Amino acid sequence: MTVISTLISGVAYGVPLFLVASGLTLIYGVIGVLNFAHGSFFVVGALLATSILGTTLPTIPTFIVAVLAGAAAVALLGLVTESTVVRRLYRRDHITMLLATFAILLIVEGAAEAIWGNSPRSVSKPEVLSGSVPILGATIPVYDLMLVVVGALVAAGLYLLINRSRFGRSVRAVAQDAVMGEAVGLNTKRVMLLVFGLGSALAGLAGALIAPNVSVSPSLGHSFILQSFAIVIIGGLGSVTGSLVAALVVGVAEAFAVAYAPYLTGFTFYILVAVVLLIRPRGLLGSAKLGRA
Amino acid sequence: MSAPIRTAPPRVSPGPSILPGIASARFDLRPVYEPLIFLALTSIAYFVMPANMQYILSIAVIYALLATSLGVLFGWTGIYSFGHAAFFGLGAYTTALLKDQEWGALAFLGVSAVVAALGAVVIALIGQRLAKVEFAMLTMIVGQIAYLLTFRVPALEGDNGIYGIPRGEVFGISITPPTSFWWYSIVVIAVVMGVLRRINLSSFGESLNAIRDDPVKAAAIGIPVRSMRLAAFTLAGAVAGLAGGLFAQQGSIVTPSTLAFTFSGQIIIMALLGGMMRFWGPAVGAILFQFINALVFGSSSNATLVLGVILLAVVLIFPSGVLGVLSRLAGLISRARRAR
Repeated sequence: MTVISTLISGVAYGVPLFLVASGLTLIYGVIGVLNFAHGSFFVVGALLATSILGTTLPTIPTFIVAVLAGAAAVALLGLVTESTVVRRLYRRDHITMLLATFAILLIVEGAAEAIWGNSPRSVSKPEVLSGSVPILGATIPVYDLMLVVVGALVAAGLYLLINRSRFGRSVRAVAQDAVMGEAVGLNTKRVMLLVFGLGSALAGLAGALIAPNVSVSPSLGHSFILQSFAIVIIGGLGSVTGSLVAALVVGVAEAFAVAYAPYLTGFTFYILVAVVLLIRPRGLLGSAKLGRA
Repeated sequence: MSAPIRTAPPRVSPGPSILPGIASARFDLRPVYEPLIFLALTSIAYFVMPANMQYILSIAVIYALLATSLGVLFGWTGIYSFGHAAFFGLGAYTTALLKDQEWGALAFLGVSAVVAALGAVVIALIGQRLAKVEFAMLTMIVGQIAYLLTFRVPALEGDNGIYGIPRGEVFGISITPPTSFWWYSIVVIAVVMGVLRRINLSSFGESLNAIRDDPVKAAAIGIPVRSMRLAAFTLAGAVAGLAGGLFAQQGSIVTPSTLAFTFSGQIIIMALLGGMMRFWGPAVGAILFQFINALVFGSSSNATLVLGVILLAVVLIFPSGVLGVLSRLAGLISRARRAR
């Protein structure tokens, strides 16, 4: 293990975290809902991918289908969740929202247990992505490189979508002031629905991408939702850029911990969270927009 | 603590006295007779039950105390905690680690409460400057750290847990037999509930309600919001720790599941089911939940799904919980009577 390879594997580790956390923070920033169920959405994406990839060595097209299907199915799940439950709660207080989405987490997880069972499932990567390549004297797994590329693409795509598109403009408007947005003729209901779907799609995408790297079971969501909450806190609630920075920092820190301080494995997140909270309670890039209560 | 502050009666009143005329504002007997009623009802239930249900009830009353301690946060003060299991587990592991000490049973509970209270102080101080939602996330993360530690620290025995925790003696009387342990635990729980009820009805309790209803106004009328929140969080942690100690003595084994994230969620569901806004709501909810869980879904493999459906139903349809529904029914009945 050299510093370079540790760095790359850290970034690769951070990418799925960024995907999950960016969806979470996007939904929070625009709708003001902290979606507990996000972790279970992520797991559904992962489980679906394992079903599509199957037990044999998957081909590249199968893999692409699995990833896109994971994202699409979970986007649908998010749309259904928003239009059946979450929508009814916009006028209620934060705690009701947290509890309702926690209930959805339990329901989705229970349904996942019923469909896929409780035993961990492992799938293999397509042959092209399972090797490794030498870069700067370090051996880097191709899959990790692929993750880095996908992460960069998604980050760029999100940036363009939010800052350079018509839809993005209405998203930013709703995030700033939903009532005013409604008053000037924006369809805020639809914006919120689509944002919820987009955020969920990111969770599903992350799940599908991570499926070949871990053993997937319905309770995988717990550790992931906690880690992405940690990322969201470090980055600042509602800041997509913050979640990118935080995910990379955390991923790299975790990779270095694994390589050089094994007893810290799994704790780097939490240590970073505590440190950030003590220094900057709003997170690294959190705005002071949120009301203090 | 600051000087007592008389605030206007909170939006959610402590509820009417069951025995009108006895409880006046200056000499309120509710902290005395309500726990006694609780003790009497649960004990009568305990002695008419078959043995397998006795076991469920003896755990349920411990959870009743635990859920009430969460009510101190959610219901009284408006602090959201998603990691309350951490304090319960902290208390349970404290008693478990001291299993070789030759102390009286009550001493373990005291130490468990103090250790959990210290833990709560640390968390509250770290999260002092956070907004509500971020604080809720912090508690969740801290809970997860505690959970992970049980696997990392060799002395905590990881997945196997610590077993062989003795029940010991109270004032020289052994509490190892189930019946004597029942009396020991229910008396301890009733006493602590009485103390909590007293605090709930005091000016301190009213200040907490004021903070819950409107922190800005509360600060404006001179309530030291920050230190009151700290005190509430510490109190809740201490009571949860005490419940954890009892739990360790009851089952004589402590495993990491006492700290799991899902258990924190279950405590919230228990408290909500009974009604978070009433003092006895969480306790009633915890006992109900335990029996529903054991009798209806104990055999079902879809416990998680059912739990989620229950929670969603409570949140969407009965936000005031079982006690809220009951009191509304009582109101309807009395109004119907008056109409006749």
